Amino acid sequence: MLTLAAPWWLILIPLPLILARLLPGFRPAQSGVTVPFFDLVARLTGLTPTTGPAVDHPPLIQQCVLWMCWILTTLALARPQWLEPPITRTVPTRDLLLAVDLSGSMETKDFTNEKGEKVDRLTAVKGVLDDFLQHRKGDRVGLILFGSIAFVQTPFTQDAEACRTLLDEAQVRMAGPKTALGDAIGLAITVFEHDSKVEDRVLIALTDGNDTGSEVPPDRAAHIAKDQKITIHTVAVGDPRAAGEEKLDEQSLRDIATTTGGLYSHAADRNSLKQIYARLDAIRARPVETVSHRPRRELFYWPLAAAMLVTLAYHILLAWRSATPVGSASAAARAAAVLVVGALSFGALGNFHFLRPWALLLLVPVAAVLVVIARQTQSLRGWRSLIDPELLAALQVGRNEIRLWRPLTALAVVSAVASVAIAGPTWRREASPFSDDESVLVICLKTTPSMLAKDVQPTRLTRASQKIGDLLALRPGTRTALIAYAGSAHVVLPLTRDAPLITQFASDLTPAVMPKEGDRLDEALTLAQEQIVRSDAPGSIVVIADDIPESLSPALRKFRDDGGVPVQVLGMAGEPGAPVPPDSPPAPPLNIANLRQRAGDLGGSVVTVTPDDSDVHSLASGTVSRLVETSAAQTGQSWHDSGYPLVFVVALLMLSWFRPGWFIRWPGGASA
Amino acid sequence: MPEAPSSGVRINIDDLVRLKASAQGYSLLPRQPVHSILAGTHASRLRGRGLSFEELRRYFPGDDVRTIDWHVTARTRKPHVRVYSEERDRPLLLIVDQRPTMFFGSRRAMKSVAAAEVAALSAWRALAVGDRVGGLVFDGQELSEIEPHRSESRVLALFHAIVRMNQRLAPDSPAGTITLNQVLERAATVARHDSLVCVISDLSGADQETVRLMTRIQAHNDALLIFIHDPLEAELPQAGRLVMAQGERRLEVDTSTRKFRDDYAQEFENRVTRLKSLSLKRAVPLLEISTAEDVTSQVRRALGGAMQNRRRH
Repeated sequence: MLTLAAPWWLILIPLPLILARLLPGFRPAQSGVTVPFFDLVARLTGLTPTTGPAVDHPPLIQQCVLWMCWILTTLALARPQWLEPPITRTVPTRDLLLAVDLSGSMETKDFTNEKGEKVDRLTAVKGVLDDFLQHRKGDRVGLILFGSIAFVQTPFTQDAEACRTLLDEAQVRMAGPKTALGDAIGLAITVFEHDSKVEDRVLIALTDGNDTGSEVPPDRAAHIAKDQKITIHTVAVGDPRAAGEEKLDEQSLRDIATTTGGLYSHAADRNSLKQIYARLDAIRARPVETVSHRPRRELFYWPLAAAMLVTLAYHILLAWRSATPVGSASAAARAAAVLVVGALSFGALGNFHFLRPWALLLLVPVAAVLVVIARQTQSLRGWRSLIDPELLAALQVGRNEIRLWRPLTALAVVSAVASVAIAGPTWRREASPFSDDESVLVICLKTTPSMLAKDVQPTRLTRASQKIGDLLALRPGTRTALIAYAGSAHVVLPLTRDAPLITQFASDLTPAVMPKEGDRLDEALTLAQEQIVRSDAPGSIVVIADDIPESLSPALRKFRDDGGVPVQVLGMAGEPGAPVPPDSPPAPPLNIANLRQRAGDLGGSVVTVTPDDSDVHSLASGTVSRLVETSAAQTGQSWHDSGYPLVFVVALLMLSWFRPGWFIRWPGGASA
Repeated sequence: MPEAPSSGVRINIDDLVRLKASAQGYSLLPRQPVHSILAGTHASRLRGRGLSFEELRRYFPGDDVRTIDWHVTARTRKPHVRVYSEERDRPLLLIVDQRPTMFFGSRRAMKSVAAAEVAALSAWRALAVGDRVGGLVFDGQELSEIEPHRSESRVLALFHAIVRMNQRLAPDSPAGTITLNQVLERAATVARHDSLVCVISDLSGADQETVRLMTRIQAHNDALLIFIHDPLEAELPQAGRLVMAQGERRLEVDTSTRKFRDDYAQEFENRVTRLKSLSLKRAVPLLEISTAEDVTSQVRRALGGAMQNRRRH
């Protein structure tokens, strides 16, 4: 639907009437010809001679055109916009925590899946969760893994996909062999307390229930959870008939569920699982919060373009009528073409470009008309056909002082500014709450002991994670993946829109978690490329590293030659000679020359770390501009149309047209 | 080939001197060529010189019988004739207008230049037939009087006065206070009798008083009105917007309006008609000189009639 974003500007419509009263009359600097029949002509035409050049009035039609333009311009000022139908997004009203058991007993292959195969319990859990996560679109899900200890694998996130991927990577015994179910419940209570504001707190524990080695017994933990209004649904995995370490303790799981008002289900029992889903769906403690966003499309350029066309049409008509040989108009057209091409090629630089470059074509007729006017409105022009040049030169009085600001230049400037405004210059992206930006970014973070050096405060690695946070803030709503590499490369987080999640994972990385020492950037890049290919979207890679070994050069070249996406490297190390705190692990300083060469191998560029966020801006613009090249169609809508402020300039300049006597004097127009 | 002035804007003394060579093929004398505007049928013949009695002598066959002096013949019983000679002295008084309104021209030359040329042609012609030449040269501020004298130096003095004022003219020349009538008033006192008074002007500011003065001059002298005009004064072609000026004042006129152009042309017609009626009534011949055409040939055409099949003006 059509709306006016700034309707109050419409009150400007009568402004010219006031201005016409207030402004002093404009007298074009005209040179005249001294004639002996001056008084006679004055008498015949009934015009009063003026001291200085005449203040005249434009012909009626020109006044009409002017008013039409003015009204259209104020209409553009009122900023008409097309409101798209609202896009709503449900803000999750439920926070679910999933506690997944990774104790040794989960290896037991005693679970029969739908196909009748025997699989281990963990696989079964993953199967149940797959179902589950599919049902839980729009909820926030967190993931707790527990074994001998419990830890939060994923804080609350809406990105179920990321959650799912992380779960996939969970290995049995990752958190120790035991089953600390009680601790997991305790941890869940803490997580809810910290991160969740919703009334209904639901924990789903998927376990074989055999609590061993919890500091807090599960039933105690369940009571505390009940006080905290946490409902715990328990899903048992495993064979109830098993015994010993692997036995399934159904009873305690049932107890936990009943204590907190939850349900107990067996993973193989689809019906009871469905009941849990139904229960979850029934949670509507408060009305569903929706964020409604109605994308607005700027339409101001339509009235502006109409104003331009009206003016142009009028002047072209008159130019036609005055029928002068337009020899230099072609030159003007050429100049305008150069301008257009220049503007367009300038647009190709950096992020600056035009959303509607075709509007720049308006400059061509504008330039042509201006040339004609310039030739037409020289005040001596008419005389030239009547009087010999030598005599004319002698008879001329009041040399044409070249006034910079006169109707002709005003028309030129207004037209040029309006054309640019219509063309819709843009250089920044629209921050829409639901960006349609499909582009992806993969960050490869080097996680080796050398990254713990403190020549970049506090440490290279910590600073790297801060920079990742800053970088993601500049790319709102886009998908990012995080890869950590040392002697091997691992996807820490697959592509997700959940920026805080990535930042958190990045900050949790330490060299200690990396299984192998070394520097295999090439592997990391290969993984990154896989992520991008899988996303089927234009993407770019940012590598954050203190150095890249020279030995990788052939591998990097191969990566580039195999059609790898462009890579930017953020050199995360102190300059040589930078002060290094004494407790810093020894690490070579920044070798910028080497980094440049390696980036060259990759066909990429290097940005060095800076105290402010200019490095991040540079990285972000690098990723963005590549987006423009690769998928202008996809990202075109998300560019912020910066043409609107120019309408104010146009309006302001247009006001000068209402100055008495300020108009383009065409020969052949009706005399006032 | 008639000499064109070196510049159409301002004339210099050389230009005027050079015109001496062109000063032939027309006459300011009473016996006019048949096609001249001053020829017989025209109401106003130039009176020519008065006759001064030379001698009485015996009649010889072939003498005009009308010249026989019957009183002397009767006394002496021999036919005698009176012999007159044309009076040697018919001063030419040139009244040359160099006022700011004369500083205009669209083709070839300014009116002021054309006026100077006409003055030079008349002066040289008169000098060639042995007449005295003097004049009144005036612009808005100054009236310069040159006593008639039969000498080239006096002619040159006249020319110098003309050139001085001509060179002074500029688009922003002040209009001044001297009127055509004031000058004619002066001319009427200077030209007592038997002079040829040539008024070379665009006749702007001519009114009833002018008619009265011209009549007064005409009573004892010959008078000739030489009306200098420019084609643009006769009609204004369509040329879009024109900015006209007069000193500081401006007037922007759209010449594309037909009515205005018609009115304008009509206005000029009326003026010429008035002048012609004046010349018919007062027996003052009117000579129209256009700036757009070579002045010498115009003068020859009007006063010489050397050209055949000429369109009558």
